[in-house]
Amino acid sequence: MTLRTLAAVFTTVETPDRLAREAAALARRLDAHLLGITVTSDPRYYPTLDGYMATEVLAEIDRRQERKAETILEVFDAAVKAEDVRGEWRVGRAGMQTVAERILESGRGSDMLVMTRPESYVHQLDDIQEQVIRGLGRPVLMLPHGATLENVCKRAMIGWSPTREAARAAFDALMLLEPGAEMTLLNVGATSAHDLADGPMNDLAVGLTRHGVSVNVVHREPGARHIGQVILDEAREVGAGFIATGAFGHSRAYDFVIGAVTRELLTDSALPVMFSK
Amino acid sequence: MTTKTLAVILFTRAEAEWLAPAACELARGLDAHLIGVVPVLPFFVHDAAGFDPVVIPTIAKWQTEETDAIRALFEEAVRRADVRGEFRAQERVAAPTEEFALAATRAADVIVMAPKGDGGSSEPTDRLRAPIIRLSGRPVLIMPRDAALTAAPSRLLIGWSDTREATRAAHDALTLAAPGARIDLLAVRSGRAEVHAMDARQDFAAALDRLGYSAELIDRDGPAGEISRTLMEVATERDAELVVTGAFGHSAVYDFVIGAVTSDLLDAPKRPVLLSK
Repeated sequence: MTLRTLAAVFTTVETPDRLAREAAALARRLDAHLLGITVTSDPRYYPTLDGYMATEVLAEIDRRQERKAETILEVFDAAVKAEDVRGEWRVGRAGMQTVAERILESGRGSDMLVMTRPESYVHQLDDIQEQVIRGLGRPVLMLPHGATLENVCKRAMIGWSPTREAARAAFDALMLLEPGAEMTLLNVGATSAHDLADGPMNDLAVGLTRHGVSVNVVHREPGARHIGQVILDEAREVGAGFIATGAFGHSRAYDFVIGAVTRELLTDSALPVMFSK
Repeated sequence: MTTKTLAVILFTRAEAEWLAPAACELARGLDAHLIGVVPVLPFFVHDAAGFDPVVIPTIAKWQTEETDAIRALFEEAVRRADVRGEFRAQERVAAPTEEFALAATRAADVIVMAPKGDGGSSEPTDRLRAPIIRLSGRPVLIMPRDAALTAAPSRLLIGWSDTREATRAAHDALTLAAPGARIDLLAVRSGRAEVHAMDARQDFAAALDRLGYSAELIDRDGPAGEISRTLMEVATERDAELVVTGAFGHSAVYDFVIGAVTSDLLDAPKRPVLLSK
């Protein structure tokens, strides 16, 4: 399986340098076309704040957003030239829509999206990531601060579960892996349930092996650790270049009650994580 | 992307008679490994109806005979087509039927299944068809008896919409498409739906062209309730060998109210349909 078009999504709150560099380098390694997408958010107009949101203020916000978009484009262009890849550029204004909706509209044509995880909490930005992962229909590769995409082609850690999302994640991960790469299917659960999971996992491993990767199946008992933590520990131990996992297998309400693995990986991972839904 | 593993679900002997040879033909055409999957449905005995100790062994015996007959049909088809085949029948009541079917098919790149209407389908088996599409996380090829797909298609029609499911379907279609295939991307708009500047359909078409396919954009106006009809009409006009679209974009309750596209396509399609969720 091959990745032919990679889309890098830039937001105006993060510095674009690292994402541009990492995405361009990955596109070169995979011989993929690189699409850069930036969506600027327009200020919402609240009639009750009429006095505060004067025309001049709105115009200034507008100018700043445009300047940021121009800066991102310059950085993107430089990275594309440095890696000598085929790059293309899209800038969109959110307008009456949300930023997430704009990203969803423009990202569907690509095989995979890559985004950075914001360093600190930014109002509404977490929600953008969740909405994109939930609604896009393409895997989203999240690049944490200080992480690199340099090793994603060699070794993958797949957080397995008997769900549609995990099956998607395992096959989506093949897009990043080179022939002969190693893949670990990891089941985190009570020891008593390991036997039950072993059959389906081995079946899946055989199917994935036919795509030219080498797959091994691993079971771990979480003990006192959270599932997300177990996945992170295992990934570090085997030297995985990235983690792939099904995202948001449950409804929002359920996630909220249980404390979902997806959120844990979204916020705590030091490795790139690919989320599939 | 290539199809390395196909899984075909054989519910009944009558279905296996024509579907097993058809799936073998396709496996040969794609040079793929084929898994024949036979889910065994549970049966219930109601005490109040008069418990008869003879009934259970009789049903069990009949199920075993049925499975053996399907196995014979499958193995004969595999031998004739000279493909690499593997037979997986559910051991009676070892696990719930749905779980067995999902575990056995999740390893495949594409799942092949008969539509509801063809070949001795019954209510219990029909109830299993929807969950396989909804929960497997793999694209499902609905193969009509009179219009089987026997090789990689060179004319495809993709029903495009701004949903996760349709996006999955569009990308999944490339697993099957023949090199250089003509791929039509159809958008059906009802009334005055907004056309966006950042249309991912165009990006996808451009990506397809880069891959050596020949992509065409087709736009139609049509009422929201009749999208499946519009889709099949255009398929006839374009003489598509394979129709591709997202499945179950809405909840089951919504499907019921609106008259869902998926159910129409699952019931009795005139052409092979690839459904993704």
